[in-house]
Amino acid sequence: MTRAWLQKELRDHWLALIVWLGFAAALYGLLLFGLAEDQARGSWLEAPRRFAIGWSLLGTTYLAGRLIRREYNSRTQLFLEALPVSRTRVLTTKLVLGAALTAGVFAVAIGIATAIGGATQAHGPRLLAFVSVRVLSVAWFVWALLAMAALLGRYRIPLLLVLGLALMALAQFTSLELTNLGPARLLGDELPYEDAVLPWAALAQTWAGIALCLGVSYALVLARDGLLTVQLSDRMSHREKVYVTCVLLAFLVGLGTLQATQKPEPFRLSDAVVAGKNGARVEVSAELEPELAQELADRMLRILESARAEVGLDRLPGLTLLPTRELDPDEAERAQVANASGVVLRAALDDPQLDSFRLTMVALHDVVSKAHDDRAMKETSHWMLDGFAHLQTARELQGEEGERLLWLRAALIPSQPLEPFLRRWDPAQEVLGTCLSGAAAASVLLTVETLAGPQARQRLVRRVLDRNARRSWLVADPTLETLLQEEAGLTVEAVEQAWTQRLEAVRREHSTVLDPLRAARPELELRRLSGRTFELRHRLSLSPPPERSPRYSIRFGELGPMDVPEDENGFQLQQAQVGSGAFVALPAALVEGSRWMWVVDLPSPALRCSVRVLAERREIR
Amino acid sequence: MDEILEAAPVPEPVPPAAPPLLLRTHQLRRSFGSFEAVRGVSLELAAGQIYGFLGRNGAGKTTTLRLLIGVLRPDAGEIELLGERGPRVRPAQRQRVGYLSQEQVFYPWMTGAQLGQFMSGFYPGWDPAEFDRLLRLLDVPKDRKARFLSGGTRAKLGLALALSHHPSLLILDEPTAGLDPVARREFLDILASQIRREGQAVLFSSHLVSEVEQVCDRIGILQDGQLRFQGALTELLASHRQVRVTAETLLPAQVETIRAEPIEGGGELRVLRAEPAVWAQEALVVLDARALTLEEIFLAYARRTPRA
Repeated sequence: MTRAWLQKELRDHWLALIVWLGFAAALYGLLLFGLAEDQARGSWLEAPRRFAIGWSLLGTTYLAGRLIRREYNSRTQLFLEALPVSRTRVLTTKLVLGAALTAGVFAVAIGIATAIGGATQAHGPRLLAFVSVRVLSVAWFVWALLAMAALLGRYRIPLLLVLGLALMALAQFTSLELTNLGPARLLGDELPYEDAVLPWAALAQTWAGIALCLGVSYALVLARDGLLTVQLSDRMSHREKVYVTCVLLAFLVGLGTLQATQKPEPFRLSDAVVAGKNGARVEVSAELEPELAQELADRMLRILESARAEVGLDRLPGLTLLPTRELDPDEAERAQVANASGVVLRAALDDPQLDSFRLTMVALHDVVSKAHDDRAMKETSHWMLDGFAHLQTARELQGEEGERLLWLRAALIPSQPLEPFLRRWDPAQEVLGTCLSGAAAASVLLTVETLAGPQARQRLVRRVLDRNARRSWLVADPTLETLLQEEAGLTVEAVEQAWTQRLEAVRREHSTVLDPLRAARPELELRRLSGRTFELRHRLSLSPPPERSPRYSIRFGELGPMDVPEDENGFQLQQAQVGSGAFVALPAALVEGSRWMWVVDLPSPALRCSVRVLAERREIR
Repeated sequence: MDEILEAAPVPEPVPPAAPPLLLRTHQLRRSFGSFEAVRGVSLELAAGQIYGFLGRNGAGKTTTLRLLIGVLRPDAGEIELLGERGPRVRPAQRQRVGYLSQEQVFYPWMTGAQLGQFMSGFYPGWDPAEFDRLLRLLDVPKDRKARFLSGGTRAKLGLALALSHHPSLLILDEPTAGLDPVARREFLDILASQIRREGQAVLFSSHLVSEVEQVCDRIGILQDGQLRFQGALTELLASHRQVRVTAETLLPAQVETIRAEPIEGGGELRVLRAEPAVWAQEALVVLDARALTLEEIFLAYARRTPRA
């Protein structure tokens, strides 16, 4: 009986199975090819792991459709039911066949990976057994799940959608980590190497999932003498489609509302010096000297409180400062915190050379930005956030001297029309660097203040940064012209004229400071080392040469596939002497065809920050 | 000689042994939700009998037959099939039953020969030679895919598949539904000759009286899930009469009214049922009862009237 059955299944699906196997072979071939190119692959057993992730869902969906759903859609199960064979046996035969085909494909995949890697890598029988158990358990789990879904007929897709959304919601609203769930855990990164311990808990979860799916499948097939499955295999009526769509939408909206109303707990250190007042709160890690920590917390609180009042916010997200020795004193890095609110910054807090301006400016920028969910950073008024952070910090820490420094820094940028400069803010930031771009933005705010008074400047800032004023996302991102006109009664031309005149005046007044910086000449050259490998050499000269040659820094990194602006904090850093004459090679091999970005910064004691003298993206050729 | 004849004891004629019962159900019930499709059906079928199961569409014929081949499980009642008794029919019992469903759904890509090969794996008594013979007899092309067969040929292929394992009992669920008159006639002729040849018992459901009358010797009439009559065709014809009655007419207690229909000018036309011997009674002879055809009797049972 079983033989006749298997012959029938194979004859019924032989063409589909050839296509199925062809796709599996093509996908696996691509994976192997990709791994051959990937220098960091580690083990060839990475291939079955990636294959299990990609193929188990795609291939099994197709298999479940052919072996199970098709029988009901074409009504041939009526023919099967009349045969002297039980429904349990019909389903069992199909499930076993699907599991065997799945196992066969993965066994071949593991075999190929072992054969390819055998020459160079030691794949012991224990490791192979572990990999096989883990991969097959996941493949069979997916098969059992999708076979069950196939029996649900017209409700299978809504059910799988709801299942996926529910899992994501669980991960969102609880401490559940999806990567720790049985099947995901079994296909973890360590799979190609782990031969010491089998993840028994994950295996138990996966097999419990298999048992559950099989139980539901048999229940579906046997319920009401199989009539339920037959009814489920009917196509959805128009009314049902509308109903299911409404239910799914309601589910999505419900999740969205839950997500919107969910307020993550503020990030808290177990041992910290805390300063809090009104709507602001600062924590400094107790790893610092108590006096230093308290002084830092109090100062930061005072500045944040002042900024809060200036922008008109009810309360600000909490700020946590963590000391680190991994960063330079002029750097501050925002740490990612999961499922907690607030801003966490890492900086060399106990370094005597700590750049307080930089730390305060970054803290103020991030806290104000976070107060309205980083909205300003996504809009054309992004410049306003940077300008406000620089201006507020300069006034709080340096008073009038701070404003003078801002103008001095701003005067170093090339003369250009105001509106396009502010509108294309992200590229401007990349070219000018944080110090000059922030100062330029602050100088625009100072110009508005000069022309229309401090109240007008404050209204301008609040229009963009006050969360209450722009609670709804439907409120349009205002243009520069609208902002200036409505909040300060000024035209773009008037502000541009005053801003340009002031910058020209500063350039004339401080030419001895600015001209040498503007004359900085960075030189870069690409040299082919061998074949497709290049090196980048660089040097920087000043005119006239300074009495004491400072050191300049070059940050560099490879661009991603989308060529998006990289976080410069993730770039590598090299420092070299200005005016030494000799080229210095970057400590990196650049492969032909790859895209890189580098920026050259020169520290300026007069400007009290590093001035960007070059920013470049280039394809290596 | 006469003395001798008188003296010699005349041997009593030995009654032929009653054929064994192949199928007996007891108070079968089956509901779908709140709808009761089969309501206490008890039927009997002996070897060699052809049982015509008559009923309107929706009377419960298909549900009853699906209970008898084990596709559905009864909510209550028992089934005794081929000597085994239980609450439902098991797959092993089905190996000795041939079944032809109302709708012949085959794998469209299979040819007749492939279907036969596939089915042979499920029936230990499968006879490939018999299958080939039946295909030839029924004029079913062996190598044509099922999707290209006409409705009549599919029904014949279904019959060949149902008969090729020499089943003791054949259950046919409206096998000629959808066939044209010629195809239906051919199908029934072949079925009748095949049954004469093999001697199987047949349970044959239909709502077409003429074809039941043509092939069946035992009749069951199902109405609203209940078996209203069960017996030999001759008994059915002999036990039903149509009479015209008035308010003054007195009917004996042994007579059951099946259907009453008012007529113009007063009185009613009634279809009555009674034991054949009852109709010979003087009280009924005066009523001028009219004998009915099978179709008239079926209609009397099947059509709903307030007094039926």
